[in-house]
Amino acid sequence: MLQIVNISKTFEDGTAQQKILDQLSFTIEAGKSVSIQGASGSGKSTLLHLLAALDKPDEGKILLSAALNPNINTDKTSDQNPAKTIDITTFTESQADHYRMSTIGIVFQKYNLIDVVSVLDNIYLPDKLNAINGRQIDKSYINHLIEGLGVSRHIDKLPNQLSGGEQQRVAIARALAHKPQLLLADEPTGNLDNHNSDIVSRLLIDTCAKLKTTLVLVTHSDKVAQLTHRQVFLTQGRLVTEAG
Amino acid sequence: MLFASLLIAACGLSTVLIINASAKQSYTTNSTFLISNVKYQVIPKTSQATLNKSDYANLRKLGFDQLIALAQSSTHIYAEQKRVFDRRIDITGIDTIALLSLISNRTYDKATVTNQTNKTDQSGILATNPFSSPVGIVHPSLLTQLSNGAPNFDNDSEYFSIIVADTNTQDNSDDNLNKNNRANNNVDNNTFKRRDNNKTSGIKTRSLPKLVTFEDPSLGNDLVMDIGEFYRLFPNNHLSSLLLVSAMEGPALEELVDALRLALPAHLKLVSLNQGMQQGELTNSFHMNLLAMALLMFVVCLFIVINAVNLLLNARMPWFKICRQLGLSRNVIFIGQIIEMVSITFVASCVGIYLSIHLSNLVAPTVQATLEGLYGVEVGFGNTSLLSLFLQVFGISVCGSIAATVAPFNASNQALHSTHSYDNLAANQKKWRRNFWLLSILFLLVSLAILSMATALWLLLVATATLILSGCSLLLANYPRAIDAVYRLIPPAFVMLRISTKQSSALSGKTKVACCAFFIAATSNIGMNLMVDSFRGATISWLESRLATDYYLYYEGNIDITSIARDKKIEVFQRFENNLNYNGSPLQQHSYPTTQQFKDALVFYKIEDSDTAWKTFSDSNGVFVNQQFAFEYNLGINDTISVPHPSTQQLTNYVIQGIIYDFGNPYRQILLPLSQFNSAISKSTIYTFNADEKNLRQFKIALNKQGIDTEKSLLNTQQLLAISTQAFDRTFIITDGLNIVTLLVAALSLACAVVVLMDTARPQNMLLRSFGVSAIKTQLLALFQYFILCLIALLFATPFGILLSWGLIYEINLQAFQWTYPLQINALKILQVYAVSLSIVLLIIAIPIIKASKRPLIEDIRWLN
Repeated sequence: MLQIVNISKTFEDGTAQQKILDQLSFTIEAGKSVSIQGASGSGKSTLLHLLAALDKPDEGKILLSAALNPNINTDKTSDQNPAKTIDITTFTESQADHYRMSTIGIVFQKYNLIDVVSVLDNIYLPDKLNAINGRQIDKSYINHLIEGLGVSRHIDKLPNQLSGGEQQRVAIARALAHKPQLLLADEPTGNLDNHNSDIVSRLLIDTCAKLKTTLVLVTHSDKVAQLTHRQVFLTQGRLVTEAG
Repeated sequence: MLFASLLIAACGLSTVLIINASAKQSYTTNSTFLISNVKYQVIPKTSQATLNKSDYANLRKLGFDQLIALAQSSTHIYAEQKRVFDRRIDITGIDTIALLSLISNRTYDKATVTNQTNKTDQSGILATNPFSSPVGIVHPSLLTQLSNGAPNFDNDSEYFSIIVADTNTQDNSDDNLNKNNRANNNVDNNTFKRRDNNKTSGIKTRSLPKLVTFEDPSLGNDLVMDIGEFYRLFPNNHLSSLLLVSAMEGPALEELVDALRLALPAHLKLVSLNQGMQQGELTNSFHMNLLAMALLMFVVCLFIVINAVNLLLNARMPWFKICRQLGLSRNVIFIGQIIEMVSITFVASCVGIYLSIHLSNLVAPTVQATLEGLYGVEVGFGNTSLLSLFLQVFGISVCGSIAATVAPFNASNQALHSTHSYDNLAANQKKWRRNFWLLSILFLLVSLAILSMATALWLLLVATATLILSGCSLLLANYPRAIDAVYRLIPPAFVMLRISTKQSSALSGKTKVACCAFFIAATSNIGMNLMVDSFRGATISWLESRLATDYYLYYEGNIDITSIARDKKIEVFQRFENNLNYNGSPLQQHSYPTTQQFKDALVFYKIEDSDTAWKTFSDSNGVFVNQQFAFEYNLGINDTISVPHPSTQQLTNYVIQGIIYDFGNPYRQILLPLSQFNSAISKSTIYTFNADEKNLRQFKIALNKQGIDTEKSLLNTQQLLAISTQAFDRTFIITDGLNIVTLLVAALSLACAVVVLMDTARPQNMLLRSFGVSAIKTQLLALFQYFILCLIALLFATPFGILLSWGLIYEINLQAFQWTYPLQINALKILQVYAVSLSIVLLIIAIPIIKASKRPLIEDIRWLN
């Protein structure tokens, strides 16, 4: 379970201050998918960055249950969190790095594949990074993932030889390759046409459901949002409606 | 960055041009000697001996009225108690009365009329300036330089002064010189007294005479005045030389010279002023070296300019896009950029020239020792025309910067409206690789052809440049393959290293210019280091071998050292030497002992049968010559030369039996057996001997009793080696400095590339950060990419560096100095260059990388969406 508790975040824009998130609170069940919608500037991407420990809130907590985060040592915070949860906003830089490497996967709007290595090497990258820390690479799982996402015939190609939809599928495979407990997707179909958007969205949500990976999906598309277990709407940094 | 790089280029170029011009003027000054028709001069025989005014008076009394006294000193110039110029000014005093009387002399005139067409040229500027009143003659630019440092300058008065130590000694200016030769001198000695001022105890201020300007390059940095004025300023100075001014030629001149030589007292000698081709060649090589330095610095700076222009264009790209959308043509944008570039270049040139004037004065003392040791030239202050300097620097800078603008602008412009498919990109890369291969082969062939055929020094430098260009092309053609090879060497477990290595390949295509700059710096570093190392090794081993005996006594007086040594049971070997003129160039004839110890000590460049050679040498039928002699006259073993016999001076035929190494000697030299020399004719300066402690002590005591300071003049082998090594290291300060400068410039060029490519590399780095790779790891990986590029450049630079040092030793050194030495390839030295080069470059490029990593992660993570 992921608990977002009274999160606030303000950015300075020259001399003015802009409150992006304002006392935001909600809970995400483990293994479920949540879509986050809202107008530009409503705080969707900022929330995702906070969940990825790429940034820190001005106030509030993001509590992660130990079940979602088996690789992070909770001993240091056990006195404060008797229920074996940890607050990711208190992470040091190295803890945040470790959290991102082992616990979460991120899919971006731009595919951000490494263009100098093959599709297969791109997909294996997070797994190989985790292998440095002693985790085993599950080749059959990755092969299954590649098959499931329909990129098996492209594995020896370089990323710039693929179409946009294909590249995003590779990006999803890469984000899921190391079996993350939480997948954060920031408008993953924003660069795709409607047809490809539908295919990639379904693939993403279905794959997460099969793998029981918690998915937080930022999207502008109602159609895509409807595919998730729960829909959250943000306005001016506040949660205004929930559905699902 | 653009302004800074242009400023460095302009400053470096104009500094070298100023040094070049100063050196040229210095050479001209030294060789023209202010007065025409001077072929000989009388100077003291040894450094201890002095040339007195009484010597001058006596020689003129004997009828040698062609002798003109010359006295020189160098001092700082002051105005209103303040030093007006940092450098010392050479003050030359000439006996103008004697010179004028010589001009009016019938004998001289006759000779002049028959031999010369331009009469005013006969005694140079001094003939037209009779010094009717006390004046000092200077070149207009020297006066400008002096007046710049003096705010209230007034040329109608005796404005400038010098400060001298007040020794409380009798003013000697009124001695024999005045009594015998200066009867008509209208300079009032009382006036001198009035113009002297006791400033503080121990220090005296003396006013310089009014300065008048004369547009004659032979004046150089000198302030020329009548010798009476000179002795008012420097009453205790000795004469520097007596110039033999004569328009005579051939036998008449020889007769005069012979008569003068016989009339000279024992402590004086007559030497030729004409150094002929020898100096000319050294001067040319010096100027060529300076030019090469300037061009190297300028070209490498242009690499920075290209990168800086790239950075500028990248930053302006959004504006260009808007301009294009608003209908502005590419040409309009291009012209705008060019105008801006020319304006920046103009300002950079002006500031660069201003800085270079200060810089040339600042570096002069450091550079002086090296250049004087190598070439015998003075540097630092020159009468360089500012306008001409500006036109040269601005012209070259504008051409270079416009050329540097065109390529990046075109590339950016094409990137604005065209996209390449992957296949086209791959085909293009293949095409470029093939072209670089062809260019490399072409440059290499041109270089080898020039090296094998050319004899002119400038052509050899062109060959060196083409050799380096060949290496650059080869590197660019093979970067991707070499990086692939490195990639295959990295185990798959090191996934980040493998990705970084792959990214290096893409990076190599975008940092071609910076990589070439590094390659050039690395090649010249390896080449120069191997050359210096070989020279050092050859010199030390040669010295260790040549220094056959334990002790060396330097003495030029008349005391019979041999008999003193014999009394102390020491056998000394005296070295006799004759300095003569051979085919218009100076030639040294030295004696060489034929004992086994000395035979073993001589290091030969070429010899056929050692025993036969030594036998012929001992029998006085053969000689050994140094490389300088052999290469100059294209002579080999068993060739016959005809040179004056050391004792009889009769032309005698000798067969060359061996060619010896003689590092650092600018003169051609012949070794003959000791028996050929006559102590009454030949000069003896060095005595070598072996001795045990006891005998040495007694010998020293005996020498000290004779007034010989053994502390200074007696050296053992280790002391001599230490002095030589020190001199050697001083000589190569410039080389080391230049190596570091080129590496720094190459590193700056790479650092510019890092800044330019930072935006391109940012998404990939941020992606890794989003995967949980730590900041320090992403920085190290970014450095690793450049490390791979530099390492490959170094690997390619190694064979080219070795080839370069081969060319420097066997072609350029031979051409410039007429001697050569074996090339020693020292792997440790090459590894040292690797370590230094990589350290300097990585340290510098780490700065922008670390700076970029300081930004909060969230600022950069936006690049991913």
